[in-house]
Amino acid sequence: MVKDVLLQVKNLHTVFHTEDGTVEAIGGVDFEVRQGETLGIVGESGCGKSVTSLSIMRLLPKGIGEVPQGEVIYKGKNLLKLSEREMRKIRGKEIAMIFQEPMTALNPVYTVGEQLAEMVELHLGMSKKEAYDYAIKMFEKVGIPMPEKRIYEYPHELSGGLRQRAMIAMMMSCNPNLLIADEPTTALDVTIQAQVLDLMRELLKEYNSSLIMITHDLGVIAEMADRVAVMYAGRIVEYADVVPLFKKPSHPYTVGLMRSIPRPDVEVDRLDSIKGVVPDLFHMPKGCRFSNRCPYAIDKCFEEEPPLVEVEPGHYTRCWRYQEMEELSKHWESGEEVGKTSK
Amino acid sequence: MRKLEKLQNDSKAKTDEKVLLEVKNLKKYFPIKAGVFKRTVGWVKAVDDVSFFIRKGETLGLVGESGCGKTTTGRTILRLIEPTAGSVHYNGEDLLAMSKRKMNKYRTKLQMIFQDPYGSLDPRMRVKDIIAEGLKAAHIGNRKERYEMVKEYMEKVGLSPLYVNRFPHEFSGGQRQRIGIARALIMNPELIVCDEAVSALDVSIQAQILNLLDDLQKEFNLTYLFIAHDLNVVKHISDRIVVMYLGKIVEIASKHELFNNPLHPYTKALLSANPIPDPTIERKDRIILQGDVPSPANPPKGCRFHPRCWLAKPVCSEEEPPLVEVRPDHYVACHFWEEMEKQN
Repeated sequence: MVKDVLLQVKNLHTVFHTEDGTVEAIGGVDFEVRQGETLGIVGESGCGKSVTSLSIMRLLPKGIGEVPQGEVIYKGKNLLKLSEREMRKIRGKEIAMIFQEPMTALNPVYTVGEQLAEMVELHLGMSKKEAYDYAIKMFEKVGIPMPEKRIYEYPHELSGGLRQRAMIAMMMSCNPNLLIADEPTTALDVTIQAQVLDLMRELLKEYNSSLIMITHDLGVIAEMADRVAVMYAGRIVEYADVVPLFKKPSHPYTVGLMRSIPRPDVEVDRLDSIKGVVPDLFHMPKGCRFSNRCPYAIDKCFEEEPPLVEVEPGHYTRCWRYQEMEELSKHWESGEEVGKTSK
Repeated sequence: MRKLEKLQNDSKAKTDEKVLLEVKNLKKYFPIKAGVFKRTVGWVKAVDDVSFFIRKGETLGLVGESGCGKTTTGRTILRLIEPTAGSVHYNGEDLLAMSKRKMNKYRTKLQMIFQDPYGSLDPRMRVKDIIAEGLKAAHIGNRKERYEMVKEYMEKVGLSPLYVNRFPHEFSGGQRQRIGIARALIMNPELIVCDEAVSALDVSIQAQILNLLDDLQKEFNLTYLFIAHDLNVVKHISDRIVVMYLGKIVEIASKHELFNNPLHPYTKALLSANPIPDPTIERKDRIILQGDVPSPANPPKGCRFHPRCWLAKPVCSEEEPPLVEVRPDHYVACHFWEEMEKQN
């Protein structure tokens, strides 16, 4: 059964105007999110995964970040074409966002209850009294002990795990169709992370909401995502369902990522690593953006950027040599002279 | 590539090695001050009676969640923070009882690599001065000799010696961490305390640094105390692992023993919370702990883990379980470790 497409991102480009000139942070990103599904976006720092989410929400810094090209279709409407006023009705109510560090995302001078109540007063038209009762109910739902007391506390009085729960309560309070979570558990300890992921899974099921989960952690992706987009240097390099992606990665970067993480279930003498570092936005290699770190690069890779092609139904990759990948990926050249390559 | 057997033999061979560092009953209490006169109103027991040892040439992993005291333990051993009580015997001599002057001589042998590759390098110093600072402080060599050594060690950690005159901001995170490693290595240490040495790095860079640490250990016969919160990283690099919870050690074992037969409920919960990067593995046995880590200023009575433990019985809230060796080289602090073993 194919579920309805809730959000469709088409050829999204985001540029930043900086003192040193204009740079393209993401160039031509395409993906879709279906009702009730979780899309994972994975990549390392600077790959454009957070910029993608901010572009969708239209939260890029004014005058610096800009989306010159592309469409974000949500329920048939292009969000990029809406007025700020219409967009405000969608933010929080239809599409909500959870940030990595709840301490900076919450307002320190208001109690957490006030912040939740403000949202539901605004979006659901509740009275103050109703809003507070609702806040208690939501806090209870996300497993915050003593909610009737906790809603009167300030963000700094809560622990990291509770703060993230409060944040989730707030995000779910208007029953959004789509949640965007940007590294929601990165700042948390692993036992607390397990609690929060568990809670998110339950709530998504209950509300039949969709989720875009942005993270660098392949373990979290494997647990949460139905579909995955792997980003590298502002491009989606691979896009597939979660199982084929892990079982049959067909982009060298995905292969490298999976080989370079130490795994609890497999013992290796030595880790494979990806040589070099991510190129900065001003000095992108010509051709494929991964070419200078890729062990399988051929001449063509340095000349021409490969398109995103469908290798198997629903499995896309951006590599010239994708047909040979299964054979190639058996060997990985880490290139240990890494430190000597100039930056 | 998957040399499980070889690894197991390796760790067996190391059990015969002599003990390089022995920590006994180490305590570090930080005062909580309040009021106009800054009276001490309580104590944060960051490290509370911790004992363990490190064998020569091995890597001892120290894991635990934030606030469990793992960093304080590492720093106290090097006397970067003065401990409240306890002893740290290094090659038979108590580091904590030494005069500062004598301790400074030992510092060359005991080095540290820090977590934050941005905060731990002085932005106004050139790389050559950063790496040579320890040598200078210890009066080793003259200017020219030190310069040559800096270039040699930069090469060893995979940095081009052409960069000696650059400043830290001109390097990426991974390269900065290499500078930090060169700075420690140039002192020709025996023991390096790596405090979250790879946590701030992206995964592809993290692998580079872990491999580098591994190579250097073999080349220079180094001993590591590897402090980290990432279980997978600790498992990869360590021979034995110490698990801490709220200022106490709850379990010590070789990594295979710890991962296959965890005897403390906290260790078991920690391992089961660890996400596995394989979508086809169903985690049916996952243990989700209730609640948060309590404050170390006011830890629970008895076993500190009992409010979150699913095995807890009345005795756990009254009596603190001691850390005992229940199997060869496997230490655990739990009243009901036998029950845990049955569950495994």
